[in-house]
Amino acid sequence: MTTDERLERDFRRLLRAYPAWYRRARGEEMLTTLMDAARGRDRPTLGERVDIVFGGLRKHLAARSVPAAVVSVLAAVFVATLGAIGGAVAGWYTATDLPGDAAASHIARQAIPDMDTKDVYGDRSLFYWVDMNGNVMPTPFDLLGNGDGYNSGDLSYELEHKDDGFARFRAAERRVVKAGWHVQAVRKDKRDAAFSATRDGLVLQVSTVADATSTSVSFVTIKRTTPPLVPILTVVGLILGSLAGWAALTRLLRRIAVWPRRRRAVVYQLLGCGGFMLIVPTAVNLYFIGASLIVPEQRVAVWLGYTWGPLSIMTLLGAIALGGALLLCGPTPMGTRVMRTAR
Amino acid sequence: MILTALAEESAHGYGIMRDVEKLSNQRVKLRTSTLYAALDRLSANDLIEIDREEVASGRLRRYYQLTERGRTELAAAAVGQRAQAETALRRLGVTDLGWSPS
Repeated sequence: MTTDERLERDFRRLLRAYPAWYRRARGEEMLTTLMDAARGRDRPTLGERVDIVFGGLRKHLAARSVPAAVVSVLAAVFVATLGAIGGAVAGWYTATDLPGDAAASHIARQAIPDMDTKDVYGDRSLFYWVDMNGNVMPTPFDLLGNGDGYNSGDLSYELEHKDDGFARFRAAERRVVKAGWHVQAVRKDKRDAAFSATRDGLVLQVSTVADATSTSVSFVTIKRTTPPLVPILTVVGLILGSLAGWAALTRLLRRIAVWPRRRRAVVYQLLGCGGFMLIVPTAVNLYFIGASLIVPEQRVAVWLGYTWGPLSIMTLLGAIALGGALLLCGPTPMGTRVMRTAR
Repeated sequence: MILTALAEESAHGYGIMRDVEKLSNQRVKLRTSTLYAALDRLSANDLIEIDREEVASGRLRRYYQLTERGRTELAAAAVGQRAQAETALRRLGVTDLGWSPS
């Protein structure tokens, strides 16, 4: 391979950073210019490499006009939200499994030896909602007016006992530390006491509600800790989603730019309606995503904006409008850039 | 500066890069991506157009030239800059520059 051939191969590889439609229009010409500028060298300089790659990325993301940029920003935010949700869900699938019945019962008795482990409450599912009474709800659509909380799986035991002046609670804390759990967040007042402890990807919560005149109750709950990958993949999904959303919309707008005005107007209207319907659900989700990143230990259903009651209907309508716009765009070959030539 | 580079005759990408460097006394060195982004913009605004294409040694060279609109806008910008420069010189009291515009 000659020096020129190697240089050309390197430049061709770098030019792949540009979108295919742009390479078809400009690729060979740019290659000639790059080869001319690199005469006498056998490798592209670092500056040239960076310039070509960033130039290509800019082309992928370039909007044709201000309205196109606005629509692309909305698309970027929407797809970024979907990316963050996907990242969070993927992260949660790396969570530790809850222990089996025997192991869970052993952990509960480690904390409170006389704990009643015959009845276990909660659910092993990774994502589910509970109603006001703590019952698992079948679908997020039932949350409207009756939902209470999102859960990522827990096993709970309770023991009714006479008031012991928090003796069981204090003993539980000592035992749990001895068993290798890292105790955090101890809270205690006159009637309630609670602490949580972590070990091996699990959270152990022990609490006692004291009642000197009636029955006191102690609880032990075992949950999954938030996997460290959850915030990382959420942010990765956010970034990749925003880039993908922006690039996809600018590509779509570029494709339809050569269409007749009426046909184009229909697509714009569908995109506009879809975007409008999705603004509020997306904003709600972004709020939840922000909350989940600020306090990762807090279990937040970051997709709730798209699945909760009226917002789910808005999301559905928005998705139908966007889907319609995409269908209209169809899998036709992308419009090529028409350049003016001298008359 | 790209329009000025094309004012006299049509030029290809590398020719424009070299001319811009010369016109700016080596102060401006256009990167390839910057050059083509500018050519895209100028084409879209109907200020330049493709004059001809040549294939030499298997390589495509595309020559650009000013459109009528490009000539008009470049001339208007040059006149505006000259007027501004003359005002500045007058206010500075500089009468003899030691050179005259060709």
